Amino acid sequence: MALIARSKIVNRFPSLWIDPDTNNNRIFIDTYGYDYVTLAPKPGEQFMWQNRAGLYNTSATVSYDPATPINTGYMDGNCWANNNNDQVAMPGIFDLWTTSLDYQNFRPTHIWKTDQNRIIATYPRTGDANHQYGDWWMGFDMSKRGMSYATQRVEYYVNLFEQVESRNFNATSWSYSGTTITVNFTAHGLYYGDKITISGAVMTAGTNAPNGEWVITQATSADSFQFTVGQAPTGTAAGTLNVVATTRRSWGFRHPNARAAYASGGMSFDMIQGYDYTTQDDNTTSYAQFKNTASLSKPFALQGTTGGGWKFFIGKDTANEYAWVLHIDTASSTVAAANAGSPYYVRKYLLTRAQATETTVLGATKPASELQNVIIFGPSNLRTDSTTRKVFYSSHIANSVLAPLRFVINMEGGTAVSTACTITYPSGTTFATYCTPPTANNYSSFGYNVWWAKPHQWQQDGVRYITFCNHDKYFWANTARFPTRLARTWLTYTIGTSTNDEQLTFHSAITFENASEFPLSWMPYTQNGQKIVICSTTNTAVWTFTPTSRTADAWTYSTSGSVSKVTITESAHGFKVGDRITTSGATAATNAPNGTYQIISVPDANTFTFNTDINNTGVITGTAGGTMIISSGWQQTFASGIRSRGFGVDSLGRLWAGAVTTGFGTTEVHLLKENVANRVTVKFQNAVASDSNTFEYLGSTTNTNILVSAYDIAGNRIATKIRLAIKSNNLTFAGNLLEINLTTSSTGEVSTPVTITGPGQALISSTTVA
Amino acid sequence: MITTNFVNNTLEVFKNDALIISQPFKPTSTGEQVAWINEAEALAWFGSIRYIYDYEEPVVVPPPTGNETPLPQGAENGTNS
Repeated sequence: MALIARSKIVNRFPSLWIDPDTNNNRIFIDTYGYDYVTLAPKPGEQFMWQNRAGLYNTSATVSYDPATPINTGYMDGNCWANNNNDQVAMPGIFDLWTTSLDYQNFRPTHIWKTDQNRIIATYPRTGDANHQYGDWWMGFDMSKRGMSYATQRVEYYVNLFEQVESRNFNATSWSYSGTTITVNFTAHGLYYGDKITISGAVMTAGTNAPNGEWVITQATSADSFQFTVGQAPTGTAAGTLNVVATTRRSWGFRHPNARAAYASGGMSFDMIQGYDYTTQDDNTTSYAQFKNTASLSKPFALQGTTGGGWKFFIGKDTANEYAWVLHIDTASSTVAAANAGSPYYVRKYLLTRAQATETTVLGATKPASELQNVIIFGPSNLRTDSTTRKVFYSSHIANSVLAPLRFVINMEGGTAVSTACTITYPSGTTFATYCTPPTANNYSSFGYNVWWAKPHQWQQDGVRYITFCNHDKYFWANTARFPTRLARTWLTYTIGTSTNDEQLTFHSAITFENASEFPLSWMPYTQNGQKIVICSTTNTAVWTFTPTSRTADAWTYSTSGSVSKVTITESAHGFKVGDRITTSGATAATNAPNGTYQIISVPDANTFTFNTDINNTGVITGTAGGTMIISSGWQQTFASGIRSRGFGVDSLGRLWAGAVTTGFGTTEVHLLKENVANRVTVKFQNAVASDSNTFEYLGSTTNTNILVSAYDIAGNRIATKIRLAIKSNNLTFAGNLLEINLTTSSTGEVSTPVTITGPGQALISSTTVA
Repeated sequence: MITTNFVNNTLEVFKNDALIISQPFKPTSTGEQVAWINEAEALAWFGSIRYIYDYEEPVVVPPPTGNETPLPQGAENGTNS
């Protein structure tokens, strides 16, 4: 890992923005420009947001930046909440990746490059009880003066995709007044600044028909626009006036107070237009929908689809006609009782003509007896089986057990079908063997809750998996919602093959034993979904899914005091100390060891042990029996010790973290690399029994081996390239070398031969090799 | 202002100039797309959700004054690290 920057800029917290214009190959760390790949400084290149005086935040009050915005534009998350119901922590503010269920194809971002090579940047600046406020910046080059900026707007915006729509229509009617031409056409979809090509206009008994190329000067309504010609027509307007144009729109989410019944907000699937033509700084004029008389300092924003609640982007059909959105109606006290809890709606929105016309495809879906007023049950990511079959899952709990729904989306055919999943557990076990629902605490009926469930699905070696993940961004100050180890457990299931994917079979579980381990937030790390990042109060860690399932040859236990030590005999088990395992099938008089555990010791390749006590499944009594099945999946494979607030993964696969571990106003930006060792150990093979660093020299040249291990900050063995250097007159590596490069192993020691030619001391140092 | 139109068995809802809803069938919790029985049924469905769309967004935003009420803060002193 590397601490990239520690600085203090006007008492602000760290930020990281990656320039979406890849031609600039640039990343801004605390507003200063660096080479995106090498991180070499780019002197004189700085993104100052509005202006040099304001930097990226001109507010005199405390603003959102304690969340330490990380915007790679690729995968960006947030693991910070200042209170139980902090707006900052909501999806779509700094927690960008969660707003897109198809985040590999539609990457939510605050900063993006438009089709016409403009850069649009928006920053969630601050908020009050009723609104969130955002700043905007539009320009060509993030290190230069922008075209315009806007501050403290009632909306900010998460971009999902830009739509470039070609329009070709015959006007319903047209007229002129002087040099101003007015064109009427229902839902023309065009806006200020759009270039148009006019043909077919005829002046009866007159001259100067307005045929040619022009620029729209005013969109007077959704059904009418104007442009100005050089020479005023004369005579009577006639002919079939044809309009050919290309217009561009950016679609995404914003957090206006889109539903009056929601006192504090809700998300809106929305659109901005006209962003290529902004010119004035901080113009406070706004216009009603579709209308304008001039360019503004921010793009026109359609108050598009409403409905409040939480929204998640599903995708588009191949014709680019409709966008599909999942809406979870999070309110309970302010809407009809039928909407209480986390009902799912699937809606599609017409992308053409700039009106976002809404059609509800699937309405108010949730399981019966759903757990309410405890946690919001978020959706999984989207799995694409085919163009016409895309699947995601809910995370509902009903009747105190996991009860997810499967959603099959056919965006081509216009259908969305909901089906309850069936879940199978190993014999003798249930959901309650491994997990407990969270506990109600400070739940906001308006939806502003900083903890939620969100499943993660992926495919690995031909098998589909899904893990039901919970997190709580305020857990660092309030552990009440996940008070027990069972509540702090994530469950993983295999998903049925083909279209039997509503059938889930329990695979394994992981328990976050200590409160400091429990996720404040998490995010997929690798594109294949097999690695995730988990941010906790004390750590930003990488977890890797390595599925195993085996039947123990035998198990025994011995109890000493209040702890039972369970010994498993299993040929070539492959586990190491600290690995997390899940067991089933064991029998005993009481407290049979079926649950989640961490391996305490590995005496040999065929034996390992774990403990049971009052903290997990209790002290065992009676005869050890049954056939114990041991499975494992997620394992922590790298830990950094960094307490992140914002985090992201860039397009190069690098993990970035913004942190404030050194106090208020002092910023830190970390680049975390999972293969960089925190600690390297070496020892002699055949060392003296009392000291692995001592080898007994018997008077003649001796060949032996050095055993090398590398660990991260949490003690996980890691595979990494290192260089070992010997300072000694009597010890060399093979070939009489004093320096060698080698790669350590994540599963055990790596040996390298050495030659001892005499007595004395040797110093072996290690350095990281790229 | 919100207005409605029922044409070709499809409920259309307009807000000012914009066609904000086009609902050609009755939404269900399973995904089955059932045709409207009549306009009254469609209007009853819209009536149950109309409050969502009645909201009018403010069109003019005052410039920042520097006196905005800040969000509650308190942990930015590093005590959580």
